[in-house]
Amino acid sequence: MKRIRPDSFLKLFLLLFISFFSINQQAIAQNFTISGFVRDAGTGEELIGANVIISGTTNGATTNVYGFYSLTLPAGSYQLVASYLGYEAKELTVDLSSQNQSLDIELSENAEMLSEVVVTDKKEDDNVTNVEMSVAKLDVNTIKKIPALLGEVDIIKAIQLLPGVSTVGEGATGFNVRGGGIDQNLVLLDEAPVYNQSHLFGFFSVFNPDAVKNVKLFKGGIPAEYGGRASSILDIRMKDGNNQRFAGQGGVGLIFSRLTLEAPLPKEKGSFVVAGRRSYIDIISKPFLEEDLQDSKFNFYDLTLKANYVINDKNRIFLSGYFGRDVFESGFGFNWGNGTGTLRWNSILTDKLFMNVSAIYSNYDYALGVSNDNGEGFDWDSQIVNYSLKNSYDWFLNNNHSISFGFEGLYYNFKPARASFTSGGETTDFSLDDKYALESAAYISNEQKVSDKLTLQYGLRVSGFHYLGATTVFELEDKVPDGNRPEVINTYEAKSGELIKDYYNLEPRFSANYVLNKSTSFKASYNRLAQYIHLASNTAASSPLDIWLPSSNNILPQKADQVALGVFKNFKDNMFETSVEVYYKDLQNQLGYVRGADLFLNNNLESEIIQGIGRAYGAELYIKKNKGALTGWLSYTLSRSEQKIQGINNGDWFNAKFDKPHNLTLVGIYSLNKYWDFSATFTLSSGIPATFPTHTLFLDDRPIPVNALNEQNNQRLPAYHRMDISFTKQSKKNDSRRWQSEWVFGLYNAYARRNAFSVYFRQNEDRPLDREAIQLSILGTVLPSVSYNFKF
Amino acid sequence: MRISYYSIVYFFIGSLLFSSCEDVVDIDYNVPTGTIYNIDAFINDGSFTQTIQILESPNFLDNSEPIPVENAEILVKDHLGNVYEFRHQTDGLYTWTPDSLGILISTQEPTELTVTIGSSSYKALNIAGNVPSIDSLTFEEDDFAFAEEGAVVAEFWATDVANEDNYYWAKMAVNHSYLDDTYDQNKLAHNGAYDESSDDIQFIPPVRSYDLEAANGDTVRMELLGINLDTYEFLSETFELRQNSGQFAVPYYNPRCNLIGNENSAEVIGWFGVARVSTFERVYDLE
Repeated sequence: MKRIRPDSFLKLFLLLFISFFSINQQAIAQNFTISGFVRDAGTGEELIGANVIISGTTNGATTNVYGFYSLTLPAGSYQLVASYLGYEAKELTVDLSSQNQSLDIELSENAEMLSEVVVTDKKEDDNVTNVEMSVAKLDVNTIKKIPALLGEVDIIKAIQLLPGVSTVGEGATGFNVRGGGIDQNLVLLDEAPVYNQSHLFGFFSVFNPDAVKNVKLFKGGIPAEYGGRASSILDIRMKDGNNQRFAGQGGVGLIFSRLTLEAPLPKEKGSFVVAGRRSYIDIISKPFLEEDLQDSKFNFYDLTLKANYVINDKNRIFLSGYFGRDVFESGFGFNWGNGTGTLRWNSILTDKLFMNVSAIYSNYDYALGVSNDNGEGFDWDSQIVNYSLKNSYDWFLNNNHSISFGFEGLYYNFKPARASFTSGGETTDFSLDDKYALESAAYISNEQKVSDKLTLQYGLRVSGFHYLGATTVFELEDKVPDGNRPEVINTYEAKSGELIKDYYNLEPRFSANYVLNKSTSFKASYNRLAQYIHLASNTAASSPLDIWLPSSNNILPQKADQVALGVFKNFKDNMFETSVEVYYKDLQNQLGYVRGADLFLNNNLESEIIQGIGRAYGAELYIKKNKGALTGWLSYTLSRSEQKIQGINNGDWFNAKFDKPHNLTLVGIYSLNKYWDFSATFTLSSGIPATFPTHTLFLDDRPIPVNALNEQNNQRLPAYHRMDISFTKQSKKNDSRRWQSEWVFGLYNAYARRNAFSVYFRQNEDRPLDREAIQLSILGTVLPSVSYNFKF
Repeated sequence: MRISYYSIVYFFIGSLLFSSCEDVVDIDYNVPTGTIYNIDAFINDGSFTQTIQILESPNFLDNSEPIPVENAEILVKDHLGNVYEFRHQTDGLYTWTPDSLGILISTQEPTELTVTIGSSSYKALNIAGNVPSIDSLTFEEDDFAFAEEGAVVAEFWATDVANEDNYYWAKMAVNHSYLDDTYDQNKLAHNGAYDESSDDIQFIPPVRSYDLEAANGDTVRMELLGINLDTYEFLSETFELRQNSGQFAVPYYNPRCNLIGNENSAEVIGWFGVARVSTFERVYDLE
């Protein structure tokens, strides 16, 4: 397959930028600008992606991720319409005959629409008119309506119901996007990367839905401001907090409870939100535990908080953070968790220029230990920490050009292991070297409205990566990979800050939208993404113990080129939204592992890794019903994901471990009356590939399963299907009563399907020479649930 | 090294919460046809009978008795050129029994194995590693957190050979039957621990520790084998494959093989490993 060359795209971008500047110098004279924020009238939350347009036209602006809009018009008086689905549209008259105007717009929730379910948070034909493609969006209200495991609403699980997104099974950490690995998704919570998004090994995600404002998954056509992963960006924005009144919401479920409180700061200077969750598995299970397990701890918790402070009309600062942990202790100790912090400064530099500066901290760590009363035992902890600084600008130059540019730097400290054994009063240290790296990027992009029908978004991201000391550097023999680990030919100690290896990449981005008519558009996109850090995992499902490692002198950055084409068509006044997208992804430097790879406590982890190429391609069909008592969607993805790595599968192409050729989901949400909602989801997909043993190796008379012909992923697990249903009973609506509540009754895995998570092989317990195949099903039965949610 | 604590955690929580289940299933999948020989050829310098077994490797889920290879010619040649012929006894087992001293095995020069089965012929070379003597073998009640009441742990006491990189395979047998290695009872060690950073140390737990089920009067025998890196890697791979299960299983693969066939030879799996050995026997007396 011929590789996609970014050079031709670069030339196109240069041409577009040059033409843009030449046109623009004439266009900006004698115009005036109206700018400000669009907010929810009830809570004061900024609305992301709200539209402000000139009445009767399609000319207008869309609020950025901070709720800011800027619209430049020729001098005159205008009728503007601000709209956001689920909210009453607001019409305003503005006088731009002599000067720029600053106007914050507040929209009220549409009470009539609230009684229905809203499955998008944008304007009704946004999917057709917006230049974005390959973007999966779900608003939090919709996510809360979808049946959930044990009634606990989950953002990551909801995303897996969208086209192009899949998982390897229940209880698996993370998700796969268009044939990419879980480490190829950059998950951002208020701009901070979250390295492990799972509670309880993947059954629940770490994001508290009550504290989340906006969720957006970029599968392709990724804007230049994002980078660092090869497959997708999941951008989660936290609520700012109600700046109108004290408010709260929460829920009590079978596994955990949650509470969120938000309130304005005095003198209208801002607001804050605090949201916490804690599981009580250990408390519930205590009566059933043996006496020696009574002190056991099995719980997880998280705390999400955010505050914002208005310095003046032009400047505002935000401080947000997340801290969560899973704790399992019972003779042994095992815990893991993420911590993030984001300090952000929004500044309106001019009516057209919006600036954001963010200082970000992110940490993921785990600790594992076991000891006896004599103090003998084993301890191991691991951590990845990064600090980053971002400076971004949105320049709303005129109605036809909206430019984004900025730069960022991320400093990584990888601490793969602090480990020791203690025995007989003697401690043996197995700690591994820390690793350090600096990732940096600069970007510029322009969204250009070429005509009423054609909109382009094009940009360039330049990224770099510096692998730094102090650490032990391994130089490996240069050989064609054959499945065996390469020999170390030299090692040396790099000094602190010493540059060991650097990489640079040009990452062009391009999207185009041609609107054929009011309800139909064609879209195309191309993007190149470079990924400099990698998750070493050789198992079907990722585990909390998997190790992040940087690109180095031995590990090359992963790269992905993706092209996508799509047709978007709405029917019946946007009641039905449909799309078909096809994509092809060309992947380089994909990670594979040598035979018998030893990924734990290995200072020379790089010698366990071999790299090759990959390809993923597919078609995604999406049909969504937006209005009426019955809403929901159908999503079907036909796709393949394959890899070719010398040393694996005899050097031939093989199915990637997350390859699922068919993936169908159906989501239905039916409003029975003003009190009762019913929802159901059905998922049907191909089983994931698996490598089964072919022959038996007898060693000391014991049978050992071997794959004698080295065929990787040579079989496939049985097809996966599952139905979940839930009923929601809402309390009587009474405008004078602030307290509102609902009961949610659910059945997860409603017909008790035992889906295969994996098939492995073992000796029969009674007849040790006999071998048998074992199917592991994570969910063995139907899981009923009941939960109570409230808000005030 | 393998980490089994995680599996413990996962299965405890999984079974507690979600009744995760494991079912024995009948699966039907195509396995390529053709003979693949299974050669299990581990020998050492002990002055007792040495055994090599050759079978036709069955498909993994074929539980019928494996077909023994009874017509093989097996020769072992030490570094000085002495040849030891292994003769077939029964069920594909070939033995060589010393008159007094065992096979001369060097830690510097390779020992060679030649196996001929009809038109197939295989050669392999391997070098042994050094091994320390075992000082003692002790039994005591197990106070480990997960240990069942009354459980016994047996520990052998030895010190890593100083000033060199050493690899060991440690095996314990009760009444001449090796302990089931499904649960980490078959151990590998690097310098008495798990990596090159150790040297000249007393073997650490869990390398030296074995869960023991024995009755008073039983003979407990410890074998410590000095092997080389290649053999260590082969055994690591086979141990991983044997214990591979659950949510975090790795893909099955073909472990390395140091047996090189001639042009017309059938496929082969297995290993020729040579070792220096130390043994220690003690009668169990803790009951």
